[in-house]
Amino acid sequence: MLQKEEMTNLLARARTGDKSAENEVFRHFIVRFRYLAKKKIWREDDAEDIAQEVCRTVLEKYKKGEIESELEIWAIGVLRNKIGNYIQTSQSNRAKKSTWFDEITAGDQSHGGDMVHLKEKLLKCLRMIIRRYPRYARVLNLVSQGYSAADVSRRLGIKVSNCYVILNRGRNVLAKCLKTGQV
Amino acid sequence: MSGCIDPQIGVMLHAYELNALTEAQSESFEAHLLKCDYCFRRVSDFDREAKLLALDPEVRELVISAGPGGEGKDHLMEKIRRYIWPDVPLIFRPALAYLLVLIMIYPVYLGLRGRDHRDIRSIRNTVYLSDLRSVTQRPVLTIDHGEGAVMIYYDEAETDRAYTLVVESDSGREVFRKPNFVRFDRSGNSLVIISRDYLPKGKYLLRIVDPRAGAQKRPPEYFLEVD
Repeated sequence: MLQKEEMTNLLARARTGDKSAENEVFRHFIVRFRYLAKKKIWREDDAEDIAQEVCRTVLEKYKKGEIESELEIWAIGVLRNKIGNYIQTSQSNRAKKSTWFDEITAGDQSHGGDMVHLKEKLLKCLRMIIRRYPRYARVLNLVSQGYSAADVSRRLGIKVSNCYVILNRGRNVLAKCLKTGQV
Repeated sequence: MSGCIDPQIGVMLHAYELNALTEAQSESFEAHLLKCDYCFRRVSDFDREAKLLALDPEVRELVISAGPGGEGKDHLMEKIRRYIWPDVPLIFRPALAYLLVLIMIYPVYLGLRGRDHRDIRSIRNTVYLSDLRSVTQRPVLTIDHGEGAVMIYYDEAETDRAYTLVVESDSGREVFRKPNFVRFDRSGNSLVIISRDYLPKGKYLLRIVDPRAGAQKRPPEYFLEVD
């Protein structure tokens, strides 16, 4: 993982044609692009293709100095466009979302087994957390019903920033519970 | 590893994982993920759990049905609260409307109550006074609760004429004077409310003086004893 200053330095070297710096920048971005693409399209091979393509585009444009706005914001824009194009040319996103769990369990038995185990643990932890942390449970409940964070905060009469804080605290408790089995 | 490089955006982490951000916020957070190692590590480490939380039907069902905000699972008090104070703009909240109506009604209530006290009084004792020339017995007015009523009969009284009502004590001292006394009806009767403050216990002579009449005309006189 790279610090902000190191990243700036690497980008500057990559712009001058330093191959090793270019490779390092590529490695830094490809991991993130892959994650973000996979989060949206659920197919690992397609996500990898998109991530590589976006990475190449970003580096080429950057080397040519064609990026006017902040690099990261521009790169996310490119990634979103690519994903949008992919979704338009393939089946609807909804159909993919509904089958993601089946794909994982069917594609990789050991991974799917992990997911089933994880899901059991998650359900157990959630039952405990709902009783012990009603504020998190309330917010999570509304989010699960499809409300955005802004809607939730309006409904509960709290600030949006408070809503984020409640969610993050709940997440920490949930992560701890998944690790230790206790709330 | 150090913490988030921009906590103002980093705080949206779990909301992002649960797909609870707007498109613009998601885009901003994703740009943040490209720069912030700390947040990217946290998001990628919690990826599978977040997917289950956000999308798995069984998990969502549990959260929606068992949560304190789950439909059909609210306590009675919460239902009542939502009935009188629902999540609508402030001006449309029924509790506020009830409160405003009460605030508007209260002055009316105060006004009506005040009027009751001021204008409607119960006076138990009344005496009927006739001109001294026609009666020999002094009527006695008993004032129990601060006030008494005196009905004065003056056969020559005119309805629209302004008289002066003068009350003198037995010793001849004037104790009360009421100019512009225009209270006689067509039969020559007039009702006067007498207060204990003006007329304490004693004997009085009441005179109806007509300012426009000449000095020769003797005004009618009435005896009154206050007990």
